[in-house]
Amino acid sequence: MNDQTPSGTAPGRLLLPALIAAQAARTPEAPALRAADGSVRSYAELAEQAGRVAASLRARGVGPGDIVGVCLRRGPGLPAALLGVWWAGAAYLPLDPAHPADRLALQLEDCDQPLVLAEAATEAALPDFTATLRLDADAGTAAGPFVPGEVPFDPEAPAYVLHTSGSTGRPKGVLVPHRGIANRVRWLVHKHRLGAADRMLLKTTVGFDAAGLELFAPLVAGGTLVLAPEGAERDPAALLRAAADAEVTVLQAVPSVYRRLVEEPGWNRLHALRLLFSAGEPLHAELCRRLAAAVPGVEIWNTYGPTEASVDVTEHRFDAEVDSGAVPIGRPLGGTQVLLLDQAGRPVPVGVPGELHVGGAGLALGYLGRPGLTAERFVPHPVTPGARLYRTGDRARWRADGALEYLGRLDQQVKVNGVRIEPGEVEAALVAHPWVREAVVGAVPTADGGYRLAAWVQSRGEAPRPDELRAFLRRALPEPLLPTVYVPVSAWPLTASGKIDRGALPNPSTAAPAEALVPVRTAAERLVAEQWSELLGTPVDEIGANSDFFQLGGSSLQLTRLAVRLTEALGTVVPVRRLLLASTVAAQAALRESAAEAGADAAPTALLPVHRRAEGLPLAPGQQGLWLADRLRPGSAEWTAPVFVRLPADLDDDAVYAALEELADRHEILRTRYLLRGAEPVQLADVTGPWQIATATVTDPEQRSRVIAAELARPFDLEHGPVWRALLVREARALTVVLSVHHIACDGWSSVVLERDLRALAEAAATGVPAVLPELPVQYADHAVHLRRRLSEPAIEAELAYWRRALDGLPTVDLPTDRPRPDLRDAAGAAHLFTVPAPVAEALATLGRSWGATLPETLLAAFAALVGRLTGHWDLPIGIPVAGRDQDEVADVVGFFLNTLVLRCDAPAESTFRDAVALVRDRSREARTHADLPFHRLVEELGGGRDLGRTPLYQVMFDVHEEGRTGTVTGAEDLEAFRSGWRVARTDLTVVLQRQEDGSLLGMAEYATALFDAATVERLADCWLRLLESLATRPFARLDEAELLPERLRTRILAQGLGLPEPGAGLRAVTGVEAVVAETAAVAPEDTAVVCAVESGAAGNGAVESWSYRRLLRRAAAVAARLRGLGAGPETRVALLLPRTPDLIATVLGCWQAGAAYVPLDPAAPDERLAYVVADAGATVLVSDGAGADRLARAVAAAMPDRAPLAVLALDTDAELAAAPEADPAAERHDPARLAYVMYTSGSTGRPKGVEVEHRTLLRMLRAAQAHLDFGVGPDDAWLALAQPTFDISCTELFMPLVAGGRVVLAGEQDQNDHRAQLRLIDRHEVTHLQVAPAHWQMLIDAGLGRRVLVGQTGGEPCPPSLARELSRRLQRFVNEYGLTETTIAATRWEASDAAVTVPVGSPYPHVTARVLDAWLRPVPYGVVGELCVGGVGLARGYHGRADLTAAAFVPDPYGAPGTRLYRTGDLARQRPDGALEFVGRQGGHVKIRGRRVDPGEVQGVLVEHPAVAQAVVVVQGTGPEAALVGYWVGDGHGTTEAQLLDHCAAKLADYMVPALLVHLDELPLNRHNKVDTAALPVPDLTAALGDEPYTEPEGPVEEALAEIWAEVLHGEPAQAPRIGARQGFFRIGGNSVRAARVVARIQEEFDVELPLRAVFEHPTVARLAEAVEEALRAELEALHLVTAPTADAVVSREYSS
Amino acid sequence: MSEQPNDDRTVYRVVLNDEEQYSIWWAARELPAGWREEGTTGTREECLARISEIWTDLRPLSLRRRMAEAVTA
Repeated sequence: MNDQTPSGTAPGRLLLPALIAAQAARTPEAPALRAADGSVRSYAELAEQAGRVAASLRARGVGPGDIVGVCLRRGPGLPAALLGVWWAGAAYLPLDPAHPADRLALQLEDCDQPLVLAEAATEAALPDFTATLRLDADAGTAAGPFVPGEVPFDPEAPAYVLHTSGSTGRPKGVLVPHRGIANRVRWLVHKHRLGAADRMLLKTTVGFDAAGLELFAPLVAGGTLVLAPEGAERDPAALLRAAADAEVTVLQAVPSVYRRLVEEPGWNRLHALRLLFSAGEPLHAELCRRLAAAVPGVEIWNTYGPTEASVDVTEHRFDAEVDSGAVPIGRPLGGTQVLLLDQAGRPVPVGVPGELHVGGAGLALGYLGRPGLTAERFVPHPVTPGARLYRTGDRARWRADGALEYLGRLDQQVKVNGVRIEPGEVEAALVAHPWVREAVVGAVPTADGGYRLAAWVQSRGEAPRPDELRAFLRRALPEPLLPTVYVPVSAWPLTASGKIDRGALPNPSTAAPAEALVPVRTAAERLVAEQWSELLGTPVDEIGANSDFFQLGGSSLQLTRLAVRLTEALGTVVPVRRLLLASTVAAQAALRESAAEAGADAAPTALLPVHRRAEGLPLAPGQQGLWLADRLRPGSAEWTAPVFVRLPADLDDDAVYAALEELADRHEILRTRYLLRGAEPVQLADVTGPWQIATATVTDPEQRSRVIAAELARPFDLEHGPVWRALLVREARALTVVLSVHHIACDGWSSVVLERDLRALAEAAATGVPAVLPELPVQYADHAVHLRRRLSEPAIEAELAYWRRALDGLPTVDLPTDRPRPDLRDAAGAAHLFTVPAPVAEALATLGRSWGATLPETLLAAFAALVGRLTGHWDLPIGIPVAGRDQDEVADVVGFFLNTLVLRCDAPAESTFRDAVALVRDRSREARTHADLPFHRLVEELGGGRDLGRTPLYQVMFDVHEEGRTGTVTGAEDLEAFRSGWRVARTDLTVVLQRQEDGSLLGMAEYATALFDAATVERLADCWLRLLESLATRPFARLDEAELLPERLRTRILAQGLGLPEPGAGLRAVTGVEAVVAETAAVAPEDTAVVCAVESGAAGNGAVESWSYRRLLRRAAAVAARLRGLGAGPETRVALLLPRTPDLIATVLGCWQAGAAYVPLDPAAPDERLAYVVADAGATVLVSDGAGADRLARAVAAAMPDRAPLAVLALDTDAELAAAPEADPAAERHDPARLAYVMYTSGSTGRPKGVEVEHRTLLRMLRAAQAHLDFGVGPDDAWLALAQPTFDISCTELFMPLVAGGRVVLAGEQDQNDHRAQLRLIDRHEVTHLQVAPAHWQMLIDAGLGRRVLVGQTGGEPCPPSLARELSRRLQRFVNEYGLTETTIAATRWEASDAAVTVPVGSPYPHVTARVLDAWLRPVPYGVVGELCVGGVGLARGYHGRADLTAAAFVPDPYGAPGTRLYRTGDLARQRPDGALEFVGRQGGHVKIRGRRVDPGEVQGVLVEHPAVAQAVVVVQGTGPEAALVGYWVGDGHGTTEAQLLDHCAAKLADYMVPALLVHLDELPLNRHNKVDTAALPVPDLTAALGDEPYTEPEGPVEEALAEIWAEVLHGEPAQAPRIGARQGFFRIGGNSVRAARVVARIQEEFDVELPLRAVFEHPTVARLAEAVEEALRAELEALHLVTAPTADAVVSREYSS
Repeated sequence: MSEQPNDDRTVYRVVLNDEEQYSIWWAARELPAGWREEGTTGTREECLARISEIWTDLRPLSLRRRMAEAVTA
């Protein structure tokens, strides 16, 4: 990974002074500068002033090699002065007028007292006797024009001298050459596509190098430089105002500035902002998230670099989904090289920190006048002879994905207790805390001469306590990295550049304590305080109950001693680990209160109280399911059931506390905890108070939401209990008790019971009158025992039989999500509230009644219709909660009685709403008669447990609460107040409706935030409301015909289908492509138009034939004249059968000059096909060489003997052509609507179809591609043409460069399949643009593509995300294009990023519309799959001679201009909310494997993600029940086995999606267009291959022990069990989640390590589970090693038992 | 009332725009602006067969006119 590949140079060879001069010449009238007062200067004015400055300087004798000081305020004169210095041939020295005179004097002295450009206001700041030139006087009046370029610009000449502070105190002048700053600025302009519309803010003081970027990038790009007002760099409000007023599009700043900026109001005015660059300090994801929220859609880039390497050397785009903590600094910019070296100068491997060294174009020349220092910092390159590297003094490491992580300055790295610590890592973890705004971490000396780690913390609002922060950090950091002392900081000391001044931070030992001392209260606390005092030497009376051990100076090394002392003093074992988190006196004293256990024993019969056994009672089946779920994700807040209870506001805390204690007394379940006895969980009611009850006083709703959110996010500990707690939320006139109960102890019914009881008990406590509550004849545990008995195994078997039948072949529901589904389900959730208006609700209720259905049944049918419409699938499992309280005895009992049914809603798309309701009604009633079976049993039996990414069996849930179950917190307003506190999603999407008094329905959509954005769920609810309305009004319409899109959403989606203008495009097609090429040629006739090169084979050695524009066009004119003679003219077709030489291009241009269209023929195609194409296209003339002409004549004669002979022009032998005089083409204007070419596409059925394309659409497309790819921005741009001329992308390759005035590098036939030769062509001919298919890109990578400054494009087939990421890393830009011949080459495009999770096809080109439509050509919601339909002015004319096919495919466009057509592509796609389109597949492209829908592309995607797989394709072999997925793969040489790959697939894919067979190939067969030729893949013998998995003997003691455990768990007695192989899948051979829990329990007994339950799911074979066990053992040993530093014998004493 | 996108029973009509480009559209659905009926209705196959008969020159009408003028001029 240590990047040894030089990354080429910046595109083009031009330097900034010339580029800005050229820009000024191109767009003299465009605005170049916008001053702080809003006034604007044009490019012409800027150039004029800069010219005068240059002339004045020249007049004073300034020239190349000189340095000119520039001491100016930030005004319009500043850019002109800097530019003027450059034009005069000198380098500038920025002098900040705000700096002290001493510093300026040092700088001037360093540069040998240069001439200084100044103005009246700044002259005084300069030292006496400085030679000055007054910009506002002398330099302003200099006479005579100045021509930039009078002095040649030298890339190696210094562009500026920039002083950075040196450690010695004397500033060092860094000499940056023109090539360096040009490379940096041009990368920014090209990579980020800065253009005329961009406005960049200059706010950095000119003395910092970042100012250069702000200054020159907009001017090179033709955009506007916006000058921030004086002082704005210190005033966030002013800065934001300036950016908003000028509608700035690009902003760069240091994180400290962004942190202050983001707190300011007014970001909504920054709507134009599209790019944010951060530099100078470590950037944290938290800040990025806030910025991203402030400016939706903005791209945030983190950049890194020293002044010594021209501003920046790396950049990384922040990705909200991937990045957390410290944002990486990314990858090297074009032209730069980064090496990480160890102290000995050797490259370090991935993941290992090293010192960051920089090489390449950005490298400074050195330090002015300091050769010694230069030699020290600029060191010899270890690989490239003669090259240098700059040692940055920064530490970084490579991530596996190739991005760099910044670790801090070498000199900031600290060592505490012998552990090397990167403060940046700790800081990143700290700012992840929601209340921490910013943190700095460093080592501070202790009294005993050591160091301890301190954190300075700036918080939002109230400062978090040290023990809170420590507990928080504990989750992310190893113990040695936890700061011991935390110092609150209200404002940071800052350096001059706005960065935090680490040297000026307050000393922790003198910093004031955060809170007042609370005297010790109990004997235990006093004991603890005494021990501390002895250990730390702090007087006992200065230690309070709330004092923190570490804040008082304690270190983690002292913890062991403290543990020993406390164990002795408190008389109870105090483990060291507990002390780390229990760091206050009170917390350590509380450790003594570890309770013992109580117990009982019993065995009753009916639903009667049972005896409480000491070893606990069994769990009810439903409880057990929740217990398992909790084990699967320990500590997840997912199962917190909140109960909100309104109480009279005048009740005091004591009364409520007392009532809560009563409540816990009344309901045993609140005193129950859950623990593992052997392999089974039991419940034990032995938890005693004090309960976790707290009060929060809040003043505003936002604060209320916050405290509730924090409350609900806290996890429960089932093993120790309690499983509930309460928070009293006091507001001015309200009191709400938020009762949080783990779901294992509560359900919806229980929450009503709890609320009622609590209200009664609170009233009783307040009034002293005892509450009257119903008797509780039994408690929940009695019910659990009873239910266990009732559900005997035979009873369960009978129920299972029913459900197996009912749910046979049940599919999964995949709603269109915003993000890919995580491998492991993320239960984080949120909720959206909506209202179904009363008229709609009543209409539906009435309809339902008339069909014999209840309102819930009617609504469920409508909900299923929504899911059907969104997924396109109509057989849907939907979860329905049922109360599960059949017996009266449990009516007032609290506990988890709830059960869930899976309803199969399978009304087909074409059924009417009435039929759908009737079907749901019947299904629902039948299912309710089988509601006893606990849901988790169903899950165990019906599988589905394999996919940890989904909830089992159903993924959406639906519930309706009718009247009669109301609490006090039910209104929309109340719910809304608590909605924002919702943090959990039970399924992907759960919709709960509740009847309101006014007849409306209050709806709550609870959703998984890992999958959906809030806006998406809001839209989803809106769509449902629209659908409900439509179903209520037209109940007899088909479900798929009902209206789904609300009007506003429909309007928005339709607007997104329009292509947006691209800067530079928009030329109207008034003529043909050939005329535009002639115009271009007239500008520079001697420029190279075509280079035809051969790199490989015998003819190789870089043979080159180069044609100028003049030569190309003259040849074309001669061909045109001959073609006219042969009868060619408008609308006639000329067939071309030509080799790849410049004549190919000349002949096409000749055809067009004659007015004719061309029909390309592929010389490699069979004769029969050639004859067919010639005849079908109606070609009258053939252009070829002598041999080709003979061949085709024979073929045509054989196929069609009756046809009139073709007129033939043989380019090599035609005498008339050879004798033609040299002449420029006639300026004939042809009709833009005439035909340009006819290209044949191989239709999936029947004969090939000739697609006819007109000049006007072709020219528009070429212009659009030119604009999008920035082709021609550099005058030396060149495209490597590799495609066959029969493929329409060849038009982009062969003609777009000529339209733009660039070069075509035409690869010969020999080189078309030689990837190394192609790389040589790219190098030799300085190719800047290339398009090939994804598989071809992969081969170029394999051939050594490396990193290149190249604009890459792909298309034609789906590009794997990993490849897109890889290429956007390696190339300057990587673009994915989508289009068909019928849409004229391309319709949409997408700019890839190196964090891409998917590869969309993007958005339409400006002249195109692209929409996703349903079968009725109506727009579909975001994410929903529909047909991609293309409109606009890019469509082909039609299919030659096939009016019927044309009419069927090109249909009236309901959304276009009147009379326009829409092309139905037959491709499936979906649209993302940001408008980007994602290609899904061809219509009807899905296959079914074992009755399940499978998209082979998805499987393929997973296969290629494996690091050892270079390429893969997955196809279906066999049909019907024999159909199986076969994966073909090509390794990348790292080596892997089929078994490992299968494991990889099994870990990521549902069982049925895992390929049945993997076939290794040396290479994938490709067709002529370099796409994978699936027909040529070998067909394996499936029957033989799919025989039983061979038995692999377990190896080693761990595998053997595990195999025994499995046998025991799966088959009982190990002796009689069948042997277990090392590679057999646990779940394939009878495992389920309960058995998995037993395996985990047995592993704990056997190996003394605790594995999470999911380990069995993630490592489902003996071999892989063994690895996990060994890993856990190792981790355990390492942890021991860290804490106690044991001797070697302590480590080796643990043997694996077997 | 119930329409079905692409099956044998759906009734279509033959339509054309001002460039005399032909296509088909659902008989029961409103015709997009700029398109008029040719007069034929029937199944999809029937309509497409009719188009094959009458649409023999794929050139847009405006181009046909300009080319005819160029010849006569």
